[in-house]
Amino acid sequence: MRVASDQPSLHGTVDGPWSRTEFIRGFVAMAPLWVGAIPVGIAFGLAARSAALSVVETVLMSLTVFSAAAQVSAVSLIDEGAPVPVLVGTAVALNLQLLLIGLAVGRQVRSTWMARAVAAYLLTDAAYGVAVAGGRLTLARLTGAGASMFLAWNIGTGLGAVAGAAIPDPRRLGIDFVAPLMFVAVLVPLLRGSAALVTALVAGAVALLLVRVAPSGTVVLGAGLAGSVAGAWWWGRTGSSGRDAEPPDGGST
Amino acid sequence: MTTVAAIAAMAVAVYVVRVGGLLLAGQPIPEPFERVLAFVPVATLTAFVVMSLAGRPEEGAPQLIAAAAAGIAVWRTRRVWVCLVVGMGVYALLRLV
Repeated sequence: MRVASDQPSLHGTVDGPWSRTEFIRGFVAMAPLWVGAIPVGIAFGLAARSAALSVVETVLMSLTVFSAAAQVSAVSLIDEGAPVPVLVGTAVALNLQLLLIGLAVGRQVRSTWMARAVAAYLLTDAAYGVAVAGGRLTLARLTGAGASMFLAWNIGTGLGAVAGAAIPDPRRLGIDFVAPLMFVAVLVPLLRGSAALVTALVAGAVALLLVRVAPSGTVVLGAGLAGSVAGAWWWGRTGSSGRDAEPPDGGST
Repeated sequence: MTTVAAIAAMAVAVYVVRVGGLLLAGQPIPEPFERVLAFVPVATLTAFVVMSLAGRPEEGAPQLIAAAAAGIAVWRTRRVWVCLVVGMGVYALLRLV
């Protein structure tokens, strides 16, 4: 799979009809992350069952909520008898970064409302991170990546809910190290120009500060906002020549 | 409220967050916000890299070294699979030592 900087600038082009090739590309690009997603899904399935959720309720949660952070929190909250507003509020708070990501995506693609509605259902941090590779972001690719994660997550949940602790955990072999490698592979080619570097430095610093004390969604939101604001500020100050002439995502439609 | 109803409520709420950004993006966005959004991919990807590396601190150095090697490899070759192979390979070697 080739990465973003190989493509010529695609300023002003319009996202064509939804492409099956792109969907498959996104689906396959997510495949390496299955080795992390399935075990975590299994762990959730086990946790939900031990909190006395039925198999149906456990599987339903992964099919409809589709958020590891929200689901894992919900299970312990339900166990403690928390009221529904707390469950809903926690789930939203843990996924606020998807609002920012959705905005960034929406700005880069043109598509029907139906395509957006479907892509939204499958939207996760990882799907976005993986789909940004390979040239201009398309909704089909994002949907493919999302569908791939959805499948892995639900397979894991199903296994955990039904088969229980009998399944060995591949994470002990360190195979899930492929996830950060995947994100490095997508990130590095995007680091063109000083503004992108500033973005990465600020985002990295904020992420390091938050990672021990905040849930994953908050880390992404905080680092995402801080980094992108810093990068935009830097670009505004220095930018309209040479490598800094374009923001790193190739501009909007 | 039954558990199923609670699950449904959570699902709807999370979906609203997911679709909200995608739908709002259709509205005209002021130029400064446009610029900020352009840098969201780099910023969020950096956050993902940091989070996934910081996840298991006991693994520490081998992961950082392997990730750095992989980063150099992809910088040179622009190929995702090279990054994965180099990274996993270096990581495996360092774990054996």
